Amino acid sequence: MAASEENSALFPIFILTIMAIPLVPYTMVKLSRAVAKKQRTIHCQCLECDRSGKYKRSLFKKISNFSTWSNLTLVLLWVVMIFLIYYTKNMSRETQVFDPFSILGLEPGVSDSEIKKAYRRLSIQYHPDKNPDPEANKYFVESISKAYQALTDPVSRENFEKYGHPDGRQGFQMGIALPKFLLDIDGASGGILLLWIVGVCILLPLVIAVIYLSRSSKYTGNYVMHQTLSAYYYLMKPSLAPSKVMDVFTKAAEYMEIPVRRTDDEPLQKLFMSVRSELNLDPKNMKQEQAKFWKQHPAIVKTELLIQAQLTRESGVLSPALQGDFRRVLELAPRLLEELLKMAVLPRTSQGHGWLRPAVGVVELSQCIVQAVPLSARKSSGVSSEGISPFLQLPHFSDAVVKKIARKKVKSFQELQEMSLEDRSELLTQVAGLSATDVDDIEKVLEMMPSLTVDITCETEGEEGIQEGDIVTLQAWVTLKRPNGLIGALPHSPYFPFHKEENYWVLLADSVSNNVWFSQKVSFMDEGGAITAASKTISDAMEGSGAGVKETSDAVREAIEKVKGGSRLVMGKLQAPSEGTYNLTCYCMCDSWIGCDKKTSLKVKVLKRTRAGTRGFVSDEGAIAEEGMEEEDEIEEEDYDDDYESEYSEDEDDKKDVVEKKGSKKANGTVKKKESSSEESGSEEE
Amino acid sequence: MRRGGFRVLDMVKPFLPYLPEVQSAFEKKKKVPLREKVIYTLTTLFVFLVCSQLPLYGIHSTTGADPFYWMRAILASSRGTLMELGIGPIITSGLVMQFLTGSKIIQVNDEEDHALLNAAQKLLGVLIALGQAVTYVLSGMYGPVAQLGVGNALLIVLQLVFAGVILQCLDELLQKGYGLGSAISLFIATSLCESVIWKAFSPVTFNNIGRSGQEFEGALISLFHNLITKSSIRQAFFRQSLPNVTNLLATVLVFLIVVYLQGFRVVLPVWSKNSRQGSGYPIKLLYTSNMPIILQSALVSNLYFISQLLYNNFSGSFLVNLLGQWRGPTPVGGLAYLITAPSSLAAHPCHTLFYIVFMLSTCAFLSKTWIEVSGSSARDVAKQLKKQGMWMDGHRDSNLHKELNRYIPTTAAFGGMCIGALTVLADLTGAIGSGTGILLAVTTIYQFLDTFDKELATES
Repeated sequence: MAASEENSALFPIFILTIMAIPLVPYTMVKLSRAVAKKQRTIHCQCLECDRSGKYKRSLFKKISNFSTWSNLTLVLLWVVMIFLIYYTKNMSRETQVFDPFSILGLEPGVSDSEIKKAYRRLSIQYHPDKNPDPEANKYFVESISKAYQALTDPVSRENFEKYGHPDGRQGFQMGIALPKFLLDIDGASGGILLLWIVGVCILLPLVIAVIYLSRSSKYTGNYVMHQTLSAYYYLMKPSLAPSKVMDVFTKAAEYMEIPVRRTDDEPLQKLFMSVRSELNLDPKNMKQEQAKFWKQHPAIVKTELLIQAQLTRESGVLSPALQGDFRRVLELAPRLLEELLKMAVLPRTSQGHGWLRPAVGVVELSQCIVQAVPLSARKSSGVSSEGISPFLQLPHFSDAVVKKIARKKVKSFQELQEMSLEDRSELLTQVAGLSATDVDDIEKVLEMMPSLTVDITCETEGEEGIQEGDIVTLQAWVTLKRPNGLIGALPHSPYFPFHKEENYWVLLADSVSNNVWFSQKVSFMDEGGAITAASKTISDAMEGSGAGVKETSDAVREAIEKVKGGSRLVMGKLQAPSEGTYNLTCYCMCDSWIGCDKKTSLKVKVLKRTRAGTRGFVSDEGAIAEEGMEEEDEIEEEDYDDDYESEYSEDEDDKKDVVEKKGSKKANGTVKKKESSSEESGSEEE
Repeated sequence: MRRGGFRVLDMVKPFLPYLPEVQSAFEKKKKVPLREKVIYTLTTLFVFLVCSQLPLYGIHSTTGADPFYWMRAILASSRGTLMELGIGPIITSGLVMQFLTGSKIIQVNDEEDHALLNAAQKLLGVLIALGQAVTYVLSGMYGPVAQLGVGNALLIVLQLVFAGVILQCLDELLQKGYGLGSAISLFIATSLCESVIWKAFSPVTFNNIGRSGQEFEGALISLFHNLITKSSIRQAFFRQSLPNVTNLLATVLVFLIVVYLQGFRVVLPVWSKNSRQGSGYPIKLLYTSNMPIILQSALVSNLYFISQLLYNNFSGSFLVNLLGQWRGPTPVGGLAYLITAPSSLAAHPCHTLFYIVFMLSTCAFLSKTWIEVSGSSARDVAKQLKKQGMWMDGHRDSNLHKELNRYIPTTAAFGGMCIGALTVLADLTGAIGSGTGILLAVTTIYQFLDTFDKELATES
């Protein structure tokens, strides 16, 4: 009776522990995150962005934000836990260790007369003669009289002192803290047990594996389909014009999956009419071109039209069904554009260079989609290469406003940015006829706009010049500044309905030969991650060049300061091409803002390869260059921690010993080599 | 052939077609993607775990003292299951081959010889498994043979040998480029992790009636139990008979120390002639990784085995008693007793001192020997670097060896000593699993993570 009660209290404790160990830390993390949540807003404050509803935190939203599934389960689990604690506390009160003093209500070590007195007092209360209650009877026999005996009877007392129980040595019981019904295998629980084993131990892993495999065969690590990547790979051409990038972009397999409905035809036709001018159709034989456009795969037609709807800000006229597709298309767009860019800069040429022109086209398309600015607005107008598109990303700007301010000699976006505050507001209110609140909005957006500086160096580590075939280390510090002082921020993008982070692409390219030498994505959002990454790369580089501990730590500290000041480190290695002087351009392009891209030129001079390094290398044998010409960019220390791996090295060991023996008489290394080879051939002849 | 005469390796040739072999991924010039490697590794692990749960068919009893108790953690074996032998046969055959080639009894010259050597090793592994299985059955580990019957006895042997072959195939699978790291260390690490998890969360209860009431075996569960039902949690931290929280914390401590030590290294600046690229050649403090402790435990377990055997048969002799006196599976006197971890530090100071000195010196010595045997000594590294066209700043080519010699043997010896000291620490604090086991598991897990990281980096 008592044992089963005890067991039923033990199982909850087991469950409780298993629950509490993940639950408590998880809750603490969650709470601390909720407390430390940054109150600073990092998104654009202009009216248009507010109106887009992306960053709205209404009361309803706040509630729904709190009542997510994870939070609800968290609360539920805590309730269960508290219940369990309460339950076990209650249950375990009955399962106390036999302690005669506490049963008699005495302090340990009191005199015999006191014990007798207490026993008599309790007897009056519980003795079956005085108390007819069977419970009391039981308690008297099992506890009180036993306790009294234990303290007065010498045998019992000795037993109690020796084994902790007046009845002498007690057994040693073993059990499992699981509910009873799980443990008797013969009865009904056999089925439960079988179900449990088959279900949880075999089926569950299998199902998870199958789901994982089927998903991962379709998607890459970046949640983009394999099919999309291969389509992009084949369609990417070295001189893909920026206007044609769109055609490649829409071929993604994800977009093919969007259903094509018959009911969409009419609204799409309507949409086509409104965006026709943007589609690059030849105006001379419009009919033919139109027919050709509609003959494409319906999903591609639809995607292209929907993207054009975004670029021309025509999304308001879409039917509800199309509105859903439109959101889907835009949701996928950033991810796909990133992959497309990666495809463009993929090493294609024999020197391992990617293509510049398509890469630039992809970034421009990305900027246009995020800012909802038509591609045609980018056509260069003579003054700036980006045309009027930078103006159009500002709130309250339209073609008419741009024309008006152009009359006042403000033709490029940079001119507008560089004007003083008063001049600008005067220009906008007087000439363009905007209201004071509108001007305020524009100022907010202009304050949000990043300006970039790139500080790039290219050198062979520890050498003076760059020679053919060297591994060149490229180090660039990309520094971002905004007039309002933020570093990591969300761009002004009122027409893009999703959360979009700014990403920057650093491309080192030869613009004449269309070659991208090096490319990397930079993000300014995660400062902590950038600090660890930068300090790691710096310390690795310093270690490789043999610098001391102090120098390394100084360099790391400096790098951390820089990162905190809004810079990001880009580090890469590339192989120097053949001799010559290269005029490279370092492009630093933003994928969400128009008009803040930065180009920095960099001259790289590659010298002819000389025999050896300039670092005072002393060789005691002539032919170094002939030796070991195979490419080895990394030396890996092999960890021979296992019997198996090491045996492969064993034969080298033998050979070397032979070599060593023969060569030890001679001082010269070259002779050593010859000697050993002749030795080997000699042995073969035997 | 080239050398003429009789070669031991050629004896393996007739068996070649019958030995199961995994086609190497390197041979096929196919790069196995990381995802597949992870899947292969996990599947291997799953097979191993299933094998170590499946009871042997036809055995009578597995009760009574377990004579191989102290080897179970290192050999990843579990009693009465298909994994009774664990990775013992594989390790033993590997070690034997290693020493044969190291001592040049077997000469390996070319690709073909390599294949033969591998085959020989596998054959030896199967033979050892067969021998061990037969010994186990005949010695009455699963009940007297007469009681088992010939059929059952044969079946048991067959099961054990077959399990050994499966393990060998799994190990080869991972070894040949389909997995991360080696299967052997994976299995050791898994069995240790299993025991740590069990000791922390075991739902088994013991009831020492009258003394302390119900107690959980799992340390953490017991902590919660005491926290809720009793006012003091002292018992959960300091109980002696069952795993306690202190043990668990000691395990975590040892784990952290090993991970910390893994980061210690000296970087020698070397320069490549071809690309004129400077890079560092890192020499880790734990240069030989967990090898010294593997060798040390192999040494000790063999000593135990011999001593136990001798004591059981000729217990009267003075020399035998000097080597070791046994009571059941525990040594109580002689050398075997002295090299066993003492139960408490204060009670036997001399024993503790001897044990520490023994551990440190053997680990240092074995580590230093190992670099010579395994081909990672200064001379070999110098040769390897030279082959890659690397040189050290301001040193003649011939000096590279000397320069490396300044570091490598010292590092190896000191690293071995550190490993030994950690083992002692783990043993004295009563970390869960033996000190050896923890060390093996931690270094293995670290290596696996390292490989995983590298693979991930090369993939993207």
